[in-house]
Amino acid sequence: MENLSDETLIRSAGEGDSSALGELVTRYKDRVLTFMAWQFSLPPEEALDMTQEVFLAVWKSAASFRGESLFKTWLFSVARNTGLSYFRHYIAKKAESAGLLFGDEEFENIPDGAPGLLEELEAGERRALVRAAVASLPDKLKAALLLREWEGLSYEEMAEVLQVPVGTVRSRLHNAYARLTKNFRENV
Amino acid sequence: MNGDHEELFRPLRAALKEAGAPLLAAPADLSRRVLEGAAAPRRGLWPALAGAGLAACMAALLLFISPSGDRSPAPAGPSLTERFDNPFGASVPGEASGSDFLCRLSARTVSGPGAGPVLIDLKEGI
Repeated sequence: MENLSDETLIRSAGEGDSSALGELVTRYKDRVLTFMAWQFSLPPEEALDMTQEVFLAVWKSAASFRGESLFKTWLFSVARNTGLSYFRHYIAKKAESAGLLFGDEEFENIPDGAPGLLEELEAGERRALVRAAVASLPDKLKAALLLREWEGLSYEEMAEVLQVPVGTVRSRLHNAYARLTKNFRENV
Repeated sequence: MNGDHEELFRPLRAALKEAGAPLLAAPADLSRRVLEGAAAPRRGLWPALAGAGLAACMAALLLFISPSGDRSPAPAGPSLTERFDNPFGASVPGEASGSDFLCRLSARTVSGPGAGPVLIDLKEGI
């Protein structure tokens, strides 16, 4: 089971194999939990409930996975839709007015020279600094970083998952990088 | 299209990859909880299916166990019109009583409307 690809597992889940679903949950639970917490600015307990809902939605719609995209892209789309339906029911207007769901952002200025500073740090120190800087970012910028840097999604795949224009994806990533750089410049 | 500003941040991106995502940790039993939740709708389906099956059986039983007289119309009695004029085409159930009824009906017809009760028995004439 552990050697099977995500795509093979989701097809098995679509045929009713619950152990395949269990393997997918094990592989992605931390990443989906983090995405839900960051994308929708949810506290951990609420994000955990939502994560459970995401995997139940995956189970119910597994048979509809057609393999036109990577499982990962499909999974985060399901996660995003699950979170969005939650917000629609409860605080849609509030979330929208807060710019949580949609909308382009302005591109922020990049401080000069800061990116190079990181290379001068010792690895352990650099890792701690990066993690602290990421933690300080606004949630939706963190969610964009998660999808791009650690999940490896393309801009187009991110736009599909987040249901925003590619330009918004670009601006979110740009602003995440700019804020991190600013943070490093102030702290290195 | 994607590369311009990402190239600008190349050292930063390398550091991000090196640091790894500061992921939140889901509890180890989340898989079990999800699988229980996934199984719940299916467990809930069985009673519904059993109920539907039971209802179908009951309907079938009601259909087939009802008294035999209700199942199909009574067989028509022997045709008595071959040698007898039945102007109303009356279908007569039964045999002997049917003959009596038909005889009385014919007698009434012969006598015309408003003739009142017919006391003539034509059975012997047939």
